[in-house]
Amino acid sequence: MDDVREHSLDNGLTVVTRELHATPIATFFVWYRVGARNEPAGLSGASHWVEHMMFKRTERLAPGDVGRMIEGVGGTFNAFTYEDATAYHATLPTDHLELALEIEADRMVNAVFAPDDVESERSVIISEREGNEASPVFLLMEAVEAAAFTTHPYGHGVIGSKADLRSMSRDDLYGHYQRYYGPNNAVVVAVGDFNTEHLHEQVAQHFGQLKPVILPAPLDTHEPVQEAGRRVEVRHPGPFPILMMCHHIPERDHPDHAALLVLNSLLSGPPSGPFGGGSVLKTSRLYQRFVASGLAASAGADAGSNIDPTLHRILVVLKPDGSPETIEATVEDEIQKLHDEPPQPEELTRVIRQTRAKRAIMLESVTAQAVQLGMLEMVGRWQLANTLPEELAAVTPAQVQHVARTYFQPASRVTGWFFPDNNTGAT
Amino acid sequence: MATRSQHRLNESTISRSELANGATLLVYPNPSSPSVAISGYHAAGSILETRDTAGLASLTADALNRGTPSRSFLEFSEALDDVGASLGFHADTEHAAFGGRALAEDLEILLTLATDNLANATFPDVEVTHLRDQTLAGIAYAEDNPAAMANRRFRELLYSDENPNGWPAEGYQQTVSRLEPHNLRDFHARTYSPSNLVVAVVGAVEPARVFDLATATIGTWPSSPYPRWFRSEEWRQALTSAEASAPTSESLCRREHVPMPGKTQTEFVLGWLGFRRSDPEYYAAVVANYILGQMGLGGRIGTNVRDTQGLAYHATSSLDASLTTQPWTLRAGINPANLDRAIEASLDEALRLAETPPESEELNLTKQALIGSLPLRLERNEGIAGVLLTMERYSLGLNYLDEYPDRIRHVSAAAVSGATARIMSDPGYTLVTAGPEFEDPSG
Repeated sequence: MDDVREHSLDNGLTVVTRELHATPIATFFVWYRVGARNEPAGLSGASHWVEHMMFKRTERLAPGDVGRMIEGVGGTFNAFTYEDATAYHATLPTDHLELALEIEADRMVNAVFAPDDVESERSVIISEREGNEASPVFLLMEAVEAAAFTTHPYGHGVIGSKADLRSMSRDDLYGHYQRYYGPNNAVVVAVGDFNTEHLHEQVAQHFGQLKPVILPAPLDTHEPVQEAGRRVEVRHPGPFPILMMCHHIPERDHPDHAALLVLNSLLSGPPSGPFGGGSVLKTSRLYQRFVASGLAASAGADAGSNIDPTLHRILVVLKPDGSPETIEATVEDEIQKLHDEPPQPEELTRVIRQTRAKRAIMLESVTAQAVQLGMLEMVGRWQLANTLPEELAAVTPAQVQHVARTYFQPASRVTGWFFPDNNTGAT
Repeated sequence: MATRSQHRLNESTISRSELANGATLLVYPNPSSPSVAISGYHAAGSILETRDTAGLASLTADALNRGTPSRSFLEFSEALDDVGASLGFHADTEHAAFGGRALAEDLEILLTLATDNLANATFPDVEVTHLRDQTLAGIAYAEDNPAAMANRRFRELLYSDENPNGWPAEGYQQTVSRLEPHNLRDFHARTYSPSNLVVAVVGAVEPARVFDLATATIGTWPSSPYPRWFRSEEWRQALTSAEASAPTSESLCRREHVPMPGKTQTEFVLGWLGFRRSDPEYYAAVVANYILGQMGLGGRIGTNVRDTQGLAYHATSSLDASLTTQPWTLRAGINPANLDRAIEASLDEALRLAETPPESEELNLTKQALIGSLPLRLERNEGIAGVLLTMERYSLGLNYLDEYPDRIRHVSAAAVSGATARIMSDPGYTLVTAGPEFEDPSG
C-alpha cells in the first residue's frame, strides 16, 4: 500500500486515505484514541457504551437515523470498541460517500446523551453482556484478564463489569465523551473510489470548524511486573474443560513484537489482520500436537498487539475424556520446545508465504484495508501496513527462540481453567 | 463524479461451460486483486440421509480432505499452508459445498487438491475417528449455546420427523457417535459424482486458462458408472419427499422451553414455514423481511424491542428460502424477566406489517437499500463466487443481477403486506425459548 496518503487539519484531525477505483464503493472510518485503557475504576465499559450512544441522538439526528440514512443508499455501517480505540465506519456506493462525513462530523461533537436514551441503552448493553456470558470462553477470558492485570485497565474487559454498567450515570458517560471525542483525538481513514483532493476538501468542509478538545492526562497504566505465575479457575455449567494459558508480552511498538508474531504463526497460524486472529492452520504446531493427535477438540493461539504490554493466549478445548493435567503439561512441553530449539528456516519461509497470501486476500476489501490502516495507526503508525511484511521476513530463528525464552516463562504465566460444574448452576 | 455501472456480472462476462464429465464450470475474471476464490457444490446434502444417520452428509463432506491414495491429511494441509491457501468442505441440508482461496498463481494447486478430495477420498479410520470426536465436541458446544439450541429445537418442532430440514446438518450426539468410516465411504460412493458438481472460479484469472486447468483437474474425475439421471433423480426425489412431509399449519401455537442451567439470557425463535426460493412472492417477502427485522439495527422489531423499550441487544427477523420451504422467524436474546414483552412486541410488529402496507417512504428506502448494496456484496471474489453459485442453484440465469433491481422495484406495498400476512397472520406459529428455567428468571 505504497499509495496511502496522510494529511492533517489545523484542528489536529489526521486524515489517511487510499484511492482505489476497482469497485464503485468507498469506506469511511473515524477512529478515536479511547478504549478500555482509558477507563478508570468504576467506569469500566464507558467507551463501549459511548459507542452505543453515538447511534442515538444528536441535535440533527434521532435514534435509527444513521442506519436509515446509510442503508437507504445501499451502504453498510457499524462501530466497534476495543482496548485501545473506538471506531465508526460506513461503506457506501461512491456517490454517497459524503453522507458518512456529515454523520461523523455531527456526532463527533453534537451527541446529546438524553437521559431516557441512556437508560434504554443501559439495559441493551447489559443484555449484550448477558449474551456474552453464555460463552464459557468469555467467562474464562474475563477471569484470566482480571488475574493478569492488577492495576492496568486491560484487566476489566471492554464491555465492563455488570456493577459498573448498573451504576454509571448519564453524566459519567457524557463526560467520557466530551473528554475524548474531538478532532485532535481522532483519525479519519478512507479507502476506495474517490478523488483524494476532493475528499480532502470535503473533510475540511465538514470537520475543519470543529474545535480541538483538551485531552485529560493519561491514566496511570503502569502494571507491576508479575513476579510469579498465577492461576485462576472458573466453575460454571458448560460442556468441557477449557485451558487458557497466557503470558505477558510487550506492546506493539516493542522491537520484539515481530518475532512474537512469527512465534504465534508457528504455534497457530498467520494473523488475518494487524491484531492477530485468523484461523488455526492444520500444519501449525498446536493443531498437530493437540487436534491431529486426537488429544483435544481444538487448540490455537493469539498474540495481542496493543499500545501497552498485553497478553499472548493459548487456548485448548478438551474432549470429554481429556485429562486437564495432561493437556497443561503438553502445552508446557510445546513451550519448552520453543525454548530448546530455534525453528527451522523452512518454517519461517512458510510463515512469510502465508502472510503474503493472507494480505492479498485482505486487499480485496476496502473495509479490511481501512481496518488495517486504522488499527495500526492506533497502536503506532499506519505505515506499519507497508513495513510489517518486511519486519516479519527479517525475523530469524534465533530471535524466535529468544522471545520464547524471554517471555514464555512460568513467572509471567497466567493459567486459567474453565471447569464444567453442571450440578449447582452457579458461577 | 459520474455514476458508475453497478456491476458487470452478466452473461457477457460470466463464462459458463460444461466439462466432458458433466461438471459445470462458472468463471468470472476480476483483476482487482492478485487472489482467486473457488466455490462449489454437490447434490449431496443431508436430504439424502435418514434421521437415524443424521450428520452423515456433513461428516462425509468434512472428512473429504482427510486422506486420498496420493495424499495424507497432513500432506494435503502442507500443500495448502505452503502457499497460504485455504480449502474447506461442509454440507447443509440440500448440498455439500466447498470453498477455497489463494493467490491467483496458485489456482492450479487449489483445483488439484479439491479434485483429489472430491474424487478420491478414502476416509481413513484414524482420521475419521478424530474428526468424529471433534464433531461431537462441536455438537456439545452448540448444546451449551441458547441461541443454537433454540434454533435446533424450533426446526425440530416446525418440521415432521421425516423431514431432513428438521434435524441439524451436523447431526446429534447419538447419531454421529454411531457413524463409521464405511458409512462415509458408502455415502460418498453413492452421491459424489462430477455430473452433480458445480464450480465457480473468480479472481485474477483468464477464463480460457481456468477452463484448461479445470479440464486437467476436475475434468479427469471419471463420470459415475451410474447414469447421470439416476443420481439427479435420487436427490430430486428426496427434495420432493421433504416438501411432501412439510406440515401445513394446524393453526395451533406450539411453545416449548429448553432449560439451560447457568445461562443468564433467554433466546427465542418464533416462526412459521415460509417460502421456497422459487415462490412468486419471494421478492415481496425479502422486502418485507428487511422492513420488519433488518433495516438499521433490526428493522421495526429492532426499533421497538431494542431502541424504544431497551429490552435486547439483538432483535431481528430472518427469512430463509431454498429449494425446499424454509422458515421465516423472529428472534431475540432477552433477560427472562422481559421475555414476554419482547415476544409480544415482535409479534405486534409482524401483524402490523401484515395488516397495514408500509408507507411509500419506508418502502422506497428499503428498495434503495436492497438494490444499492449490490456493489458491496460483489466486492470480494468469495462474494461473487457465492452469487454465481446462487444463480446456478436456483436456475436464476446469468443475467440475474441485471434483473434483480427491477424485481425489487416492482414489489408493491400491498405485496409486502400480502406476503407477510400469508405467513405471519397464521396463529399457528412455533415458539421455542432456550435459557434459564422459568422458575428462576434471574439465573
